[in-house]
Amino acid sequence: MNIKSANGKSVAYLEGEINAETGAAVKAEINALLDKGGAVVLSFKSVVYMNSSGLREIIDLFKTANKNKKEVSLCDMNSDIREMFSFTGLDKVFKIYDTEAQALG
Amino acid sequence: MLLNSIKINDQEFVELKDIIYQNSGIMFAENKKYLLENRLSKRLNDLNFTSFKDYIYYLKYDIKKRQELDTLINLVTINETYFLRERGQLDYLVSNIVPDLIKAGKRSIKIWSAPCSTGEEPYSISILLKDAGLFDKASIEIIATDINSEVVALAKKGEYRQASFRGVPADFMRNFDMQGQSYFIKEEIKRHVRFNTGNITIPSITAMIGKVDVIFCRNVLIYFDMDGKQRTIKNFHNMLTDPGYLCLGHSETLNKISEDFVMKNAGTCIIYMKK
Amino acid sequence: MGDLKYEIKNGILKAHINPENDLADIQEVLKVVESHSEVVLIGIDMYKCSYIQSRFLAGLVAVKKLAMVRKITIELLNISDQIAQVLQSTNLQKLFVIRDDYSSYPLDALCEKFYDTEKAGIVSEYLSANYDDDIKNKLIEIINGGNPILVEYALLTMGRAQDYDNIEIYRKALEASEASVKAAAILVLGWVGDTHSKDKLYSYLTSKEINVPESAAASIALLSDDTDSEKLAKYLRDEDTRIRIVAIYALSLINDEKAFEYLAEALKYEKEEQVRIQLAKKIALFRDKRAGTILLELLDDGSIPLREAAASGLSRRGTGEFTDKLLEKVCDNDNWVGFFAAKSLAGIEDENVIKKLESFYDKVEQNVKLAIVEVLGKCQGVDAAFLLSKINDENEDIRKEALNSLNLRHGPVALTAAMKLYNTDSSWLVRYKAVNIILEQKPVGYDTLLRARLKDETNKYILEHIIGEIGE
Repeated sequence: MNIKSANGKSVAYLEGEINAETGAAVKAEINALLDKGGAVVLSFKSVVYMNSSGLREIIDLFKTANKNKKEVSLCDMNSDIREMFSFTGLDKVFKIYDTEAQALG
Repeated sequence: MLLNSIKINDQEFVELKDIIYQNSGIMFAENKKYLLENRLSKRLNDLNFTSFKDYIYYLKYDIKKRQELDTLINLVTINETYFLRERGQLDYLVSNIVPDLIKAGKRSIKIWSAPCSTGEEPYSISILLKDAGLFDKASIEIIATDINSEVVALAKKGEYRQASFRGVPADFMRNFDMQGQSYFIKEEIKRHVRFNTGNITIPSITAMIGKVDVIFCRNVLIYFDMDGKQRTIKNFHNMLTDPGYLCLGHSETLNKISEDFVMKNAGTCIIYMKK
Repeated sequence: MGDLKYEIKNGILKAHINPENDLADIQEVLKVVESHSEVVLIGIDMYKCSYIQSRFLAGLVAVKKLAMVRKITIELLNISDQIAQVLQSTNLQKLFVIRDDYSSYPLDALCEKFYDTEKAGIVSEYLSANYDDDIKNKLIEIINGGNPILVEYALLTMGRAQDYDNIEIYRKALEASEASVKAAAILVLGWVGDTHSKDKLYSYLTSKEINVPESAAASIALLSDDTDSEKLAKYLRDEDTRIRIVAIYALSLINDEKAFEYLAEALKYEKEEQVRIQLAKKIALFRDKRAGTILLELLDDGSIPLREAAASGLSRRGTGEFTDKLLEKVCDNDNWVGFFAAKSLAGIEDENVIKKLESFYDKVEQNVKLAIVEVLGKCQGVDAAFLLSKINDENEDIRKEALNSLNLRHGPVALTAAMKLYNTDSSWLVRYKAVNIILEQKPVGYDTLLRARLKDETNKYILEHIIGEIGE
């Protein structure tokens, strides 16, 4: 996973498929990143697929971040993935931005 | 299916709001983008579209475009209300006002819902009166009026979508027949309500409706200027019998508008009584 | 006249307007701005006013004039629909940024907005973003109060704020007698990952109540493990159409291989059109290669809505699948199948396919023409000639789409065309698109170019857009 620093935040570029296994790996990596400091933006630009197992890992990630008062936001989703979030109502739970620039504020 | 939301971009927003304006005279301000997204996403989804642009083309180039325009205008311009809204006053009507009128010897009682919008309020009243068995004890008529003839037509039809049922208890639904995604109010509820079109701010409304015992006029005075408020309340005063009851929205008052009413604290709600 | 209340913080002047305030008070704002050079933004908060006096309006315009000299933005905050209408009818709304600012409201007043169907969701988002102990305690108080309209949004707000400490409250709300409260509790339990509730949620899957089965399906999917696809699959054979659709929806969220197979299987035995359409829409969301083949076969189904859903699904799946067959469907006798078939070709680079697509243009209906022009903008190697020939088309949408596609593939050509059409095109839709392209590419002197036409431009959307971007 590529990680970039900008505006005091880290942008993590998720890739490919987000399912149970890859989702768990993403979670571990992002948790480590959050431990080191500032807010994290997860870019979905190169994500081609996600299922509910993957989504659950993202929820879990938010749970830990929330407990440790760390900020995580999401951006750059294609319409299929955005639909997963909105169909479950999670689009109103997580901070989701259309573009990376907006997420970086 | 659920809270799906398709985003509208700036150019789509101006194009769509122009279409709405040309066909209904209603202009959406910049801060109402979310309203279009919320109310139309499901419609777009049903039509297989993933962007508002495609939907705009559907409105312009499909053979059923005329029909779709009507659907669009209904979806975006009708103020959403729901059954049993501000229930405290409705309960007080059924538990106190109407029984008191009957006790005082009234044989025929008139309750006026104005504006009635798409009918949720007058039908809620009808349902509660029926549940309390009050239609058997006196001749009760519910009159429902709105300035907008299109919403009156919808109210008469009595067809409702999910959004109208916020917070209603499960057994409330027995008053409706379900067909697909719609719920139709049953005839036994409908027959107690008489709908018509009328403007509550003009004096001629008094002759049109006649004397009434109770008026529900909730969450609309806030849209009038002081003059409009005063004219409306004066009409109400003229139309109410003695005793006469006026129910306003929970955030509304007659303070500085009229001194012809006394405020009565009825526990969970406020009622105004004609002096 | 009432007293003017205001504060200045970090260069932002926020004035709180009362219904009693009049012209003299707004003139006071002017004086304050004049004497405070650090002010860079003015917020006029009108949440207490439901309507506006015309003299007050005149005062606002005076403030705007001063603000322009100082290059200060003015925001009108929390204006009522009534005031919005007045601004609209006097053509003044373009002078101000209009937005809601919920920080003006006390907590009680905010929670009151849960009654308002239109504002409830936004207020809930605001409260969850600013969640603290005060808000939490208020929401718990509301839930204990039992008014179902308020309880629904109190639950959703706590869920959105990811409050994991009050799971018992959400579980208890499952027992509410109102469907809207139950549905909210079900969703929230899914959001906070309460796997203990999952079995219970299954019992809601077949409920007849509004939104309850739909919410249960979403939350079961969020809480699912390897065993749930199989459990849900049995509902695909339920006699109630609505339950079958809900099961399809849950399986599409789970989106594993088993779920795919159950849905593919269901398409073989399902007879009802409405359910078959949902199957097609949801199968399109699977990555499995077989999904494309299934949708392709559905393109030849007897049902037009089903064919349209299949075509739409294929267009969402992107490039590379079945180019030849889809190309052929561009000329389908149902124009929405043609529309989606054309869109499915986005990203194609094969010159022969592109040429063929262009050659179909004259044979198809307007919406398909639009899809063709749009999709050409998404294909590498499209040359400018075809698109350029369309910027003189008699249909305004074609001209607009052609301009947009040119901009995606041939920026400089698009800019030249845009600068011309901005001044000459008879349709505001095309001029609006031209303005966007000019603003995006920002050629030297673009602001002068845009401003030069302002006096002749009659369309208010374009005027507002340009003034919003580059000032008057």
